[in-house]
Amino acid sequence: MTDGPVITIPSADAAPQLVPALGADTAVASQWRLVAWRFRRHRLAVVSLYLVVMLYLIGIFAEFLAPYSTDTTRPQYTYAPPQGIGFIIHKANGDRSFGLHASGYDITVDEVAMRRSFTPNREKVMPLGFFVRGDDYRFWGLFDSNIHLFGPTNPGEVVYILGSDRLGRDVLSRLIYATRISMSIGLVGVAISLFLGIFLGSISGYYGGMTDTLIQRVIEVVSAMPTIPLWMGLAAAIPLSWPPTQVYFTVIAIVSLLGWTALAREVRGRFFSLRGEDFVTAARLDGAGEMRIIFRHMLPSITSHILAMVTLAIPAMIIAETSLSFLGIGLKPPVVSWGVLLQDAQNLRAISSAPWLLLWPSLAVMVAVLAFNFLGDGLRDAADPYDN
Amino acid sequence: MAGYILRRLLYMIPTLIGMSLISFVIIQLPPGDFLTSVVSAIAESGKGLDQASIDRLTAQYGLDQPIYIQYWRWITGILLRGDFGWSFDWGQPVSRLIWDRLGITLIVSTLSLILIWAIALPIGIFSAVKRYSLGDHIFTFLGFVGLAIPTFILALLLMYVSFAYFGQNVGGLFSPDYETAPWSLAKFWDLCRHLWIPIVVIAVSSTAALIRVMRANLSDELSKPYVVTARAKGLSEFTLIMRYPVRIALNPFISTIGWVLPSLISGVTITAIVLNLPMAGPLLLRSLVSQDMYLAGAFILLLSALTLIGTLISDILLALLDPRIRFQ
Amino acid sequence: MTTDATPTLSVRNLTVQFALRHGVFNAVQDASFDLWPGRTLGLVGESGSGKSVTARALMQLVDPPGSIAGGKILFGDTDIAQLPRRGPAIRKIRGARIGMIFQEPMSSLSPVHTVGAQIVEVLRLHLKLDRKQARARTIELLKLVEMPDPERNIDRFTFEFSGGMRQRVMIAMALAGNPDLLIADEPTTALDVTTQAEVLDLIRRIQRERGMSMLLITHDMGVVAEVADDVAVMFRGRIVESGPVDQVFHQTTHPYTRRLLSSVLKLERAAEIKQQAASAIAPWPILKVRKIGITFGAGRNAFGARTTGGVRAVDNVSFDLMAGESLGIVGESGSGKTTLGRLMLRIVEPSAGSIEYAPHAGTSVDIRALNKAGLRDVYRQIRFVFQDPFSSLNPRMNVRQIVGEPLRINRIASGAALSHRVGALLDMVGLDPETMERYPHAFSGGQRQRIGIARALALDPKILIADEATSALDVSIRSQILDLLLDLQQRLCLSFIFISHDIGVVRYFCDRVAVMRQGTIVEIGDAETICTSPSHPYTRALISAVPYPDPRTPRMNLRTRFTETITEKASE
Repeated sequence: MTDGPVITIPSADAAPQLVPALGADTAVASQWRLVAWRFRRHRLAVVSLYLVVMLYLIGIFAEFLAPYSTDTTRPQYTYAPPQGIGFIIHKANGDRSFGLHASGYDITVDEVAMRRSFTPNREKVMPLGFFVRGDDYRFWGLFDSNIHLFGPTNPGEVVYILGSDRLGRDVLSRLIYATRISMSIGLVGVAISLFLGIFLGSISGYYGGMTDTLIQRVIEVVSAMPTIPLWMGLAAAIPLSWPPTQVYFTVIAIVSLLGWTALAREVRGRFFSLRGEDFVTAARLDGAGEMRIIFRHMLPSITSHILAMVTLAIPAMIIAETSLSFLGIGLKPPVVSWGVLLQDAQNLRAISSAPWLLLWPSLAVMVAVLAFNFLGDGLRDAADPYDN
Repeated sequence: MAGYILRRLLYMIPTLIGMSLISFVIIQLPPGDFLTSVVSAIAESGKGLDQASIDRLTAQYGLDQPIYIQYWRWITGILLRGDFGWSFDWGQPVSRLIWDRLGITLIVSTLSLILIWAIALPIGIFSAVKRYSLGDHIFTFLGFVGLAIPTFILALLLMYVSFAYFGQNVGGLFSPDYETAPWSLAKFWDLCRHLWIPIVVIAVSSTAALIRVMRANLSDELSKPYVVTARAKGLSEFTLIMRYPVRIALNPFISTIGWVLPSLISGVTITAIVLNLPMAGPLLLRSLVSQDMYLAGAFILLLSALTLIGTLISDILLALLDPRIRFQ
Repeated sequence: MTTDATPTLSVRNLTVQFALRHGVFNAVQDASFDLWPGRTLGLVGESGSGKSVTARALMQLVDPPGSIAGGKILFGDTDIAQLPRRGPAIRKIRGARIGMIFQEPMSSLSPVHTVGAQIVEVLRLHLKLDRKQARARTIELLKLVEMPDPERNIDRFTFEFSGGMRQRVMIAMALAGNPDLLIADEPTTALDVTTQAEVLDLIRRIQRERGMSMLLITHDMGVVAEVADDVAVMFRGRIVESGPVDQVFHQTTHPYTRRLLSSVLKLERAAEIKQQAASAIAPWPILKVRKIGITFGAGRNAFGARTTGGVRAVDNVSFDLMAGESLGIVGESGSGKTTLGRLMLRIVEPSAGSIEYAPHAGTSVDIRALNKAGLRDVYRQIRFVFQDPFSSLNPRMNVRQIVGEPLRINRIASGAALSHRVGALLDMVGLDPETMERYPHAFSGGQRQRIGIARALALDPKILIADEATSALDVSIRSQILDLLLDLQQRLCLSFIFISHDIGVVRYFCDRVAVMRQGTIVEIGDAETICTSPSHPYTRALISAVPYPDPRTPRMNLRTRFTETITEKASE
């Protein structure tokens, strides 16, 4: 580059020194590659990614994974405590052998107090296995089967790995089916919020002026109102006569109607700051029309941030649906979601006699929310790979 | 400064109008003609109102008029006469039912907010100054966990724990013995014993968010040039951190009231339902389910107004703290 | 060199390391120098040379992952290098025995405290004064640094002051503890050239009065020549040359210093290439700007009525750009030169005036009157080169996409033809066409600026408007880019409008120069005349305030000053 006198010192125009010489990989790495590299450094976020994927897989294969179906009631097994899974079978003569099983119980009925009590009995061994035959089901309405991934090897036996509820239904199976509903609500709801948020946020941020002020005010009003009373108000208006699928979609609509504001704000803020950037001006001077500037030049700078925000918005949706269903104004039986499951754990009496009804759905909600939060946090940190 | 406050107040008015519109729309949502559902609600609750009373209510609130007339009647009733409407479920004017409930909601929310700040501020500062230390990781993790547990589940869990391990029945605001008793130290202590759960429950989820806000903002500020200047002046590390970057990072911290307060009040609402506390929540739920519309509308409107006032206070605090805002 | 026996501060073999993920980086290696009472050492170097790190190390202000890895910093009977980074020992030195002034006074002073409070803090901390005494002393200090009306301004906030005033506050703050040594880290880099001269005068005067030592960090060889008594030149963490200022400038030993000096001196006269240029065609005014203006801030009040007021950023400016010439627009901050550049392409809409573009002699079109399609047409012929090489390239597009964007949008080429053209353009600006798959983050500042130039040339324009195109680059790179532009101008018959605050750059590159002040052109004429013997008093003050990189022929120290009462309009 320089054709001055021969000097032994390399040109001071070399790449900045504090950064170690950029390898060929980084030089040609597109923004997504860089984002992925930065993301991988957050181990917690990567683990959360796997967790989230696993949860969705559970939701997709619910019929196959759950040992029983959700509505098989067994009146003689109400409020049965969890039997858990054991690996070592203790025989009566003191021998031990390895085998997947659950310990059964002895059931005694107290005639006077009208209560059943369950005492675990290690002698009663109920072997468990994989790919067992169990209740019939229809996989996503496509084909019939009765093979379950996991369950008692004797089809007639009843095993409550995580306990049963007040109608004798298996909590584990209901939990698995509930995963499908709750996780999908988060996904669909956030898709709607995303669309609304990006659309309104971009318009607001790009055009500025009156449009911006108007949209901003609407966002302010909506986000200033406490969400739960608003959700309650909207959900309570759902007529009781509506079929469950309609209720399902209405709940999604309600939940996403209030969620788009945060996204819109973020998009608008980023558009505003991008508007003044030199490279946007350069694109305009290159002759680019408004559409091309927005989609080719500005949006790519925003997408990674949007991805992070979206991931962080999903837990709010999940919690919203769970809260509403818990209160009885969201999803209702026979639809099963985590919130509906928690309805059974609403009062002290229920909790104190059957704490597993509270524990497992709560755990499911917490794990899902935590996973999304860590994932979103990792994405947010990785979202701007150029701020070194 | 006075001009700033005045401008903020004026700015609030269209927001309040927007809120009232939204509240009104929500309570109009349940299907069916309002008048007939009102009549059927009355018939159901068995609070037999005679035709004359029904006619009087119809006339007063414009129940047979189009929607915008009803809205107008409602709003003017509130603004001019403090009349929030009639509760068909309880057979009383709404204003008689809401005020002490709202009062307790306000108290619990404020106490929670103070608690949240008191916890989040020092932890946030610590996390930012000692970034990536063991303590930071622990707090971040705990914070996340707190963020992940929905308020009502936490309330349920605490209720269970408190019952199973301490033998306390923590529903309600007072134990049965103290319910009607006159005020005394013992009664106050009983109140505290019941109040700690809702306050802790509500504080937990928002604390995490605020810690992260403080940590992020303070971390940004700590790498700024004026911190180096302060250090070059010979100030001790603690003094300079408190006096300069913390002071500046307090601004975004305080302005978080804008969204913390709505979520606080949401949390209060649902926690109150779970724990059966005499606050706005349970009454709101009941009114929504039984379609006692004026009561529900009053609650939604007032809870929103409460949040707005909180935001105003935070804006004022912000202006006091940051001269740049005053000079705009 | 001096009669004093001991230096105020002695640095011996200082090494400062940064522990990075991939290894250890030596920001400063084996640096040694002395600071004497009453004398100024100028520590000069380009970006990345380690000069700022050295300054910070002297007060143990290097933050982790950096640390002092070796050497001594002898201050009195203490070795600062051995002191812990935090602790009472170093705090007794900071602010009390060593004072430091930083580069950007806006971000180096607290935005939420009054200037008085920040100075009082030092007084109460080190001199143990009570409130009243501290306040009185602060007012004295403010008087010392020539702040007007100190009794009132003491309670003003930082953002209420101009850049020069803020720097004076910094100086007062640094002097408050009566230090023996003053470290000034690029104290005037962010200031206008006239303000720079005033502040440097002030610092030197105070230093002489108090007999303090001073360490002046700068990248500007002119400042060093006119202000420093001794010089140390840093390159890549090492001191490559040091000695008294006259010796370093006139008996240079190290090739790097020689190269640095030659790049700087190059810009003290017009480019050699230019002197050979002869135009083939008779030039015509390719751009005629008449009475262009814009007012910011005048708007409507709450009731929709027009309010008066607002800032006239550009006020009634008129000039011609002849075909094939480079016109320089020079001015300080607030002069309106940047806005003028943006007005000409309607990046910002002018509120008055006309811009006539005449691609050939005879035809002309008023840019202001064009619709969108016409404007896009003009955009192909008048192109813009931006100042900041980091923000003017989209980090998410690779070079081929960036340079190819104008070609793609205007449907000139696509696919393989596009890559071919991009390659040719990169070659023209001195970059390897093979690098077109890379992203901007893989290039240095100078290289990015070349990419920006390639993008500007993509559409075979007739006029290039360069807005501070070299200001963000090191001085040794600057002349390379300028030479490139000159070469391109000759080859492609381009006309230039070159906006800059740097007189040297404009003198090197431009044929004619317009000097702007507060939105108007105060003088316009031939570059050589304007830059050596201008007529307008403001221009004279501006030119003479630029420090000259030769200690034997000072310019800044002999400058004229411009006072507000003279308001002459430029002749066209």
